[in-house]
Amino acid sequence: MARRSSPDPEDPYREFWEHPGRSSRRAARRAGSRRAGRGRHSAGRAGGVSPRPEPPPAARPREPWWSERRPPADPPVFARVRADDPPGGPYGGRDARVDADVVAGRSARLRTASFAGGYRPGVRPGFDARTAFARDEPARRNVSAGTRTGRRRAGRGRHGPEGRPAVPVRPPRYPRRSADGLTAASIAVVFAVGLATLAAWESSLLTGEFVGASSAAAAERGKGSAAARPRPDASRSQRPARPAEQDLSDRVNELALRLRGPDARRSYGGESGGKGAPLTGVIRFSPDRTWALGSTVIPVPEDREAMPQAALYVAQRTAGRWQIALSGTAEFDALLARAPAQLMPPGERRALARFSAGAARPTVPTRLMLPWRIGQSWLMTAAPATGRPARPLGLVAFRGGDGRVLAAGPGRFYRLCATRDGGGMVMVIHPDGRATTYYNLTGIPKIPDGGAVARGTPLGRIGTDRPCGGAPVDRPQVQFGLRSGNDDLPLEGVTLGGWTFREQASPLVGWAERGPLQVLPGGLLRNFGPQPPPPAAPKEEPRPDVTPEPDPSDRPGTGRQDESSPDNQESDASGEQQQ
Amino acid sequence: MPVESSNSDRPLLPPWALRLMAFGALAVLVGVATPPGAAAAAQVQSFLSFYVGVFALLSLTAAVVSGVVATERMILHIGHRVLAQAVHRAASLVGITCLISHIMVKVLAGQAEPIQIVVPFAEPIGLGTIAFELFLIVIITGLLRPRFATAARPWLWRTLHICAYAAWPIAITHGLTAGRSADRWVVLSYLLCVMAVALAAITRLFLAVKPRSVPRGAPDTVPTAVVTGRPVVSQQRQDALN
Repeated sequence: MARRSSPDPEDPYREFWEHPGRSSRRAARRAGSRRAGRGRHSAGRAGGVSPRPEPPPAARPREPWWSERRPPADPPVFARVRADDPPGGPYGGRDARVDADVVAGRSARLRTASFAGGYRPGVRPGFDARTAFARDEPARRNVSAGTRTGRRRAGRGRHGPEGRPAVPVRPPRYPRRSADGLTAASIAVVFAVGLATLAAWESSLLTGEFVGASSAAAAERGKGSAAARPRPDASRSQRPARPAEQDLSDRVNELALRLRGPDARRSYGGESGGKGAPLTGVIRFSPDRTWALGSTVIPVPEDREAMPQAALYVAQRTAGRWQIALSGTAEFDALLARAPAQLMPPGERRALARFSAGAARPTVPTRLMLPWRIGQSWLMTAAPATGRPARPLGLVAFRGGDGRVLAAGPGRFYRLCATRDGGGMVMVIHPDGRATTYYNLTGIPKIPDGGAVARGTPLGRIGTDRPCGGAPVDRPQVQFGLRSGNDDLPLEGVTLGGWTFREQASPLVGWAERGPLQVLPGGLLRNFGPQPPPPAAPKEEPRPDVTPEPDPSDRPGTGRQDESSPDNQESDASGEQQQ
Repeated sequence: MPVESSNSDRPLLPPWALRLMAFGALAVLVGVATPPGAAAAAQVQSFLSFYVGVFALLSLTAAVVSGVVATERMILHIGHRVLAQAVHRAASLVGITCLISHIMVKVLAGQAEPIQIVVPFAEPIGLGTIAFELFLIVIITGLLRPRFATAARPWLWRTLHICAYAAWPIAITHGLTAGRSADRWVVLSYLLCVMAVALAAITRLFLAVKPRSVPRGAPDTVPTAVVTGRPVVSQQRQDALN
């Protein structure tokens, strides 16, 4: 801190600027007796030296550390801190500034040495460190043994009447202070950040890609698509991406359209289906970025109601080219078997292999429940899939209850068509290779892709989000589907939450049954948990409201469900009695 | 680079530190070229991409808070205030380093155009640009503070340094709006920070005036400068004593 030397002798603060150490009123109050006692020493010591003509010491031009001020044979400055130097303290934080009269007769080097003030444990807090430690400094430099008082006395004794030290001046020594520790720590942090930035910079130059930009860019993309949700692919295609990742995305899209396009067209129905650019995302890269696991979804057209056709893929980059395999293909199994452990843990690899093998490999099915809390009754709606193999339960959706959607069974969690605000389609791959998909969700929890979920883990709330496209949804719901490999599994014969789902071709009708109970779309389903339904009771109860009707186009919002709701709750109650 | 702390004559950087830095830079340059180093560098990249901006904001927040606190005279002793000034300098140094790193990383990642470092556009990144430029003014004037203090216009330094009060809220807004969406607790903690700093600044406005109004040459500060056994009392103090 440079002191201002006022040219104006009438300046009322001139005294302060030239002797800042003396004008602390607090110090004067608290350490008055000590100050008075020291006056005797300084009186005999600083004789003949006038403070006024000397410039303030800090106003002198400083010399850098490499200058000739220090003898060249000196060891490094910080190595000279001795063990007996007092540690830094809050009151030694500022330099023990020496006033001009003390410093005036000494060399610049000695002045530097005398700046080293430290915190003494016995010193009272009100003690003015700036003036007091200057007297202690010669003692610390010259005396190596003895008590503190002895050293201090001895140090004072070395001042001759002319105010010069009696021994040759030794190079300055800097004690540690807390402020210095802070400075050193901040410089260390600066070094670390600089080195990290250097590493990032060089890495991005060498590999041509930047890790972290992908997910952040995807997040940016998701924010853009939040505004234009109906056409999410519009904002996706125009983002600049790094070459390798862009290449991977392009190749996956191409492959997905080639392999899955016809299927998607059939599933979505109509001519426009399956034409849009697939929504491809990378779930994760291996650390060396030669392997990638990702998902691709062919978006559903605006005017169609269908479950988005989703697939996972594994890709390996060899010789600058991505080798990609979609789930449900033999190449996927082969590539998955070679995938390194850094890409996915073994458990996930097994689950994905079973998922890809799909219906071709029958296993003991995992017991699934309906995707909400056990004991609650939700409304089931179903739209027949519009595509060619129209199934009456092709597109099942549920709503009601508390709105919280739970995982139907244990498995691994994946979020497809992931958007920045946490939206997407949730797919849980169960140990038996089947996967349950949950669409239109909001508030999806932040479970990492591939993370294990248990049965009943919350997956979000019912909503109207359409990150993978599809027709608008009029009220919050969850579209629920079963997938395996690359195909939608029909619900026919599947047991969920104690109900067995049935579909029938003629008349085209689907329903859920539990013993004698049968619930059509539009009715309420009570979740009985993962247990299989009890064997059909022999007795037949009249349930006029739940008998299958020939009209399968029982759509939500027709008002029928409203009148049937109370009756279905009765049936739920009876179902509970049966259990 | 001769780096010296502004309040002492001791060199801030010992000579071996620069050598260590050069050696570290060389090691990093070589290490990143190796496969394990590349994997580590990829993680460093993603870490920097996600967090260095947050660290910059945190450090600069600490700098603003400690800068405000360092002027407080009612509660803090001199030592505390000196410590607060040290914190202020350290936090500013770390903050500006993180900020530069943040900008470099974002430009490298293609999330910002190089022109956006200088030219603020009307978007969340533009707020960051404005804040960066204001902080640059603050940092440069902070480094040049001795010149301002000895010059004829010490108030100029103070005025320029007050840019921090403008830059910091802009940076907070930039942190909340640009990039990934902030969690609720992040927004809440930012608001708490803003409120704390506002409180401290208001306190400073009212309290900073008071101690300064006390005349320095008051009679109770007995001069300790003694020349030839006789206390030297300035003319002004003599007047005050008489």
